[in-house]
Amino acid sequence: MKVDPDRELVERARAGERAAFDQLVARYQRRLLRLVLRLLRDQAEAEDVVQETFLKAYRALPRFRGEAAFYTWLYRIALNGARNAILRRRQRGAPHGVAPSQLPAPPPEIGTPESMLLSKQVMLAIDAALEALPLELRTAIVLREIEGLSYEEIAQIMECPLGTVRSRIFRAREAIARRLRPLLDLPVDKRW
Amino acid sequence: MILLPDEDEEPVGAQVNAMIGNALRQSVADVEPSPGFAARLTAALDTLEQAGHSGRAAEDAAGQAADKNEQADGVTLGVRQGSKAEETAS
Repeated sequence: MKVDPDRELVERARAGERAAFDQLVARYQRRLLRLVLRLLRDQAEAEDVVQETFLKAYRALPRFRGEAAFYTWLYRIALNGARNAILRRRQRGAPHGVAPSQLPAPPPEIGTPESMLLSKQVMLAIDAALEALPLELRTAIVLREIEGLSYEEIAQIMECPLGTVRSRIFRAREAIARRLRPLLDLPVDKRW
Repeated sequence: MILLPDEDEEPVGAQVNAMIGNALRQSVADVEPSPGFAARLTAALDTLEQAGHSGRAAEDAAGQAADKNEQADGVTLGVRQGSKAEETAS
């Protein structure tokens, strides 16, 4: 198993050193927000989930046995929070997705008007395709592509076998690529 | 801007996968917590910490009180035993 980069801070936090826990918060708050926002697409809701994640982690820290790396444990808490938020939304009858404006705009583009337009269309298509994916597939590809985690780390976080992670990421990419084919003028029946 | 796949370059699938990855990363590249987020989180953790301290303090106080009672019981018991010993001796 990979050495936990947070081990020392976690030990100090477990011993009651609040400043050590604050350092862990500083280290992970943006990463967790990025992940949860990509799943929920609502900044305020995502921040609530991230805050609750840290509070739960703080409360549960004495019981954290260090069998998994701290960050995989933290991601798991955050993903459960995001899943619960989506369930609550469904119970309220709220729409699953939120307007794309809730996500930050991509960086300014440089290129010909045609390429800029196509680039924007591609971004929107990817966004829509991601939104249409089942949560397990969306989570797997976000952890892989945005967080840059290994398949092994994703398997730990999602508590599933490695093969399932591979399959989820493959299916997610296929589903997104299918939406892109007409835009990119690539043969629809061609398998990549 | 996203680099779009070029059909002359192979494999297209790898390029598309790379493009999807880039697009996803770009979509959250500028994500930052809102200005009040850090303060709210710190306040919530402070509350939790204080509750933990008060909880522990309450447990400690209860423990100390229990210890005192035990000691008091012990003293009482000792006094009683002492009295009994005195009675027996007398």
